[in-house]
Amino acid sequence: MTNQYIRNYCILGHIDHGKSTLSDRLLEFTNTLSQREMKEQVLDQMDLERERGITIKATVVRLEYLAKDNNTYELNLIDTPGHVDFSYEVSRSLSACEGAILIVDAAQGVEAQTLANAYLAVDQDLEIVAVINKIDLPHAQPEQVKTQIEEIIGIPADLALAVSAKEGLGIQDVLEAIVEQIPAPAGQAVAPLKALVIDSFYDSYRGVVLYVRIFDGEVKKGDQICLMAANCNYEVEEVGVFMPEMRCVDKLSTGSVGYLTASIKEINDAKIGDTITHWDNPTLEPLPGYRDTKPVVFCGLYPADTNDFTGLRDALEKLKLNDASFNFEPESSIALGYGFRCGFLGLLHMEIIQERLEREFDLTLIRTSPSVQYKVYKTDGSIVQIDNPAHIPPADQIDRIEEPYIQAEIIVPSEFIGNIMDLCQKRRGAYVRMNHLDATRAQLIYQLPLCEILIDFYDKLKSLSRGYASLEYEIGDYKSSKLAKLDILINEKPVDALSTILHRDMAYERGRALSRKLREIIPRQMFPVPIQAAIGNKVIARETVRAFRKNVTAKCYGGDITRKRKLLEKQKEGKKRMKQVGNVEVPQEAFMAILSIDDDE
Amino acid sequence: MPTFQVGIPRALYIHIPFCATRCYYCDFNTYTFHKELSKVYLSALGKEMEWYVQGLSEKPTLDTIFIGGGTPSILSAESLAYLFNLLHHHFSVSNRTELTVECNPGTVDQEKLEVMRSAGVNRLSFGVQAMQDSLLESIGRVHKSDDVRHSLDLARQTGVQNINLDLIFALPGQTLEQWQQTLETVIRLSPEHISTYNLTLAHGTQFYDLWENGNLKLADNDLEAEMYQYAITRLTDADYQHYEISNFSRPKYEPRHNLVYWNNQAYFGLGAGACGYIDGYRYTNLRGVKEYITEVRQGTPISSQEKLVGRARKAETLMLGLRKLAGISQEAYQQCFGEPIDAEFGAAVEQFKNQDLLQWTENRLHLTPKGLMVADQIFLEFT
Repeated sequence: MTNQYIRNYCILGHIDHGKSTLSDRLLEFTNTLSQREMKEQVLDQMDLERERGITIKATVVRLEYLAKDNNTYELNLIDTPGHVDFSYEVSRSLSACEGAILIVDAAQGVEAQTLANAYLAVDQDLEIVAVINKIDLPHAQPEQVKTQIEEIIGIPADLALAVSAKEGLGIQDVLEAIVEQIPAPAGQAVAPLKALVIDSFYDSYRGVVLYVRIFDGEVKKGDQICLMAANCNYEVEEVGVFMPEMRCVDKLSTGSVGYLTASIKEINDAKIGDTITHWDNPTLEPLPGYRDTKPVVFCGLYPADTNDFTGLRDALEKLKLNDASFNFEPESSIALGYGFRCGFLGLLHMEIIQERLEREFDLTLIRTSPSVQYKVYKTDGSIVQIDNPAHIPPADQIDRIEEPYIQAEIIVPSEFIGNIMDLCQKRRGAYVRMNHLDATRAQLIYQLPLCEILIDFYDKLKSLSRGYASLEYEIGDYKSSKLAKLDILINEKPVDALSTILHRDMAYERGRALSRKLREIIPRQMFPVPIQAAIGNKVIARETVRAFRKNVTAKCYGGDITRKRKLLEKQKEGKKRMKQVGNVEVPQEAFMAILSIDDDE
Repeated sequence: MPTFQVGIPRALYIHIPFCATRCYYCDFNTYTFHKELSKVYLSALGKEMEWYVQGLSEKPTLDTIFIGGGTPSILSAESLAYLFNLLHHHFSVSNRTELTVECNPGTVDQEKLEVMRSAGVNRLSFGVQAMQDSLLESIGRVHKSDDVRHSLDLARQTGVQNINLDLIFALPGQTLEQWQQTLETVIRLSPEHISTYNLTLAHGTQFYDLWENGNLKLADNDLEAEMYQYAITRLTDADYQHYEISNFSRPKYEPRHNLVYWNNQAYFGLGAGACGYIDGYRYTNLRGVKEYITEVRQGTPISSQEKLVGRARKAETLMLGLRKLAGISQEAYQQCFGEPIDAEFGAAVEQFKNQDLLQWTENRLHLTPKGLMVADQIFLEFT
């Protein structure tokens, strides 16, 4: 098969607009999977992906399609993650494609993610095939959506396809459009190997399995290859394609997409976006766009049961095999014992890792409040990067603190603009501009401190717009802010795991809310427990958990002593799960209290 | 001097698992009363008694018997007579035996009381709970406060001169004033014994479901403490001895039955869901009435049992003994375990002593007034 019969494409769209369903239909139509093998969301294999309806890791599947022109085409569908946390990964997946199907819900229309995805595709010079999905819905408005596509996204929609993936309508049209509209991959067959690492996963038998797109040349078993950014040498053990199960082939040639294994043990050697070439006859230039991704959101993860520390470390190491983008290092907290400081690409990424640790490794974790990485300029002229509020130097050594900002793009129905602007204002947002997308919707651009969207921002955004507002963001620059460290003292003792960094103007309010919340969470003890919020030496809020005055079980009914004893034992177990802060027993939820504070209360 | 050693028990608990209706706070092992079923149940009880006494050279002599429930007084006079016949047939019951029957106000009549009296019942325990009709209704009780007075008069007339009234405080919506009023009314009725139980929110009760759904407001800890404190002060003033966490009695009317539990002594437990303690084994019978009946016919209805040894048994002894205001005797403990209390629990005892929660008086370890209020916190260290 020469590359004129290859098409490499992806499907982009807002969450719930039908990406996975369309992928399923394409697989079905081309008999890539038999009816028996078919299940919903075939490409999202992780439980988490299936439950949340999101794609976390890229996958690739090859479809063979006999087109109306009587030629059989190799259609490589590259299923990309679909969340802002993974925008770099998405960009690398897209660069492996020549075209993208942009799927838009016929009833919901263009949304923030649609737009952001469309821009990404345009940036990569992809040919965009617009697909209007869910035309079977009673309130579908395909014509209006076409207008939106033209006016908001700015791409012609005259060829937009009307599809119902759910009902299987228009599927062949999509396949034909892929063949006709998306260009065949360019590239020189007779040239040094140049291949892109789209993603990778760890297989305990094969080592790291790389998803690759061949741009120039070809690769086969036995080749000595070089991963250019890592500058390391491996011998190829196996090349193959995804049908969707892995099928070994003789070689991968120009334009094709498949996998490659080379007994790579260290996932850090196989970074997404890196270029693979031959060791002896390397390409001159690596592919553009490679970037070393850096975590932007940090939190402490601690085993609820301190005996699980080793278990947590093993689990983190295992997950890390599959995901080079998060990192962790041991840290300890006076209140929580030994745990890990972990860095993530974003909030979703953090949640996913935590959930996978708990589910796949049966751990119960305490997560401390998420933080960004601050740059602290000290009075002695040095700069320290801090991602754990507990490590901020004393106030008198700090000249200034800088924090990372994001550029947020929010699409919102006109009637909720006021609400959303208020929200951004409250979160220290700086208004950049507003674009009216059409008669009913606007796009708001704000510069926001990243830390302000870490807690509760997305939920607020949704509730203030009855679910209609959507958010995309890009990580921007560091800016200097009036930041301070808020300490919480329980029974006069500062609790390191409860410290946060926040803007001075919010300190009073947040300190009060947090101490109030803690008062609710911490049960009464044998003595009154003062809870204080302080900045430096200054206490800005104080609450007291009163001592319980009575704690005694009334009765042992009918001489049921065993039951009474078991109740006490259960209580004792409960006590053991609490964390000891000085002589105060603090439940685990307390360390996550900040996540459940509503500033409006 | 009570000892913790066990041989053939001298105490017996019989469970009658029937009630007219289930009160909202109740998670006891009880079911809607059916006359026919209750008769079959009683005959099964007879079988179970037989099982315990078979092979013994003589009938076990009992110092104390408690017939509890459920509502034993819901049984007909005829059934009650049958039950007492069984009892006398299998056990040695004398006029020195304390024989208590638990009753609900309004479920006793002259005839039933006569049957009880002539069978040797010398103590009655009434579930009064509160003395405000509105409050009684709100907790699902079927009786009214007037029924209490009436039943009590009847009991006294029949010649039962040892009467306990059970009360509950910290009921949802109950005010301190209502509790005070209940205590005053009850004191005027002059029972020999009063129990005051703090409401426990138990799984599977109507109250629990309401509370879980946010439809029930419980008394807060401060109010509970105030109500409890008030009861202690007021009842002590009225010449009731506060001898156990929840129990008050006129001098010389401390019921033997309760003390069996707190002194860690042996007792037979008979009936569905009943618990017993024989030869160091604590056992629990099957809870379901039908299951109980079926199993009794084939042997024993015991569904689970455990024998505590080592620290757990010492801890249990302490936990029980400390419920008495007189506390636990070092001597008795030492006789049982061959070591003083300090050997196992020295550090905890020392800590609580320093916190003024425990105290030694005449070689007995007991709760201080402060410790009494937070006894569970102390017991936790002894588990």
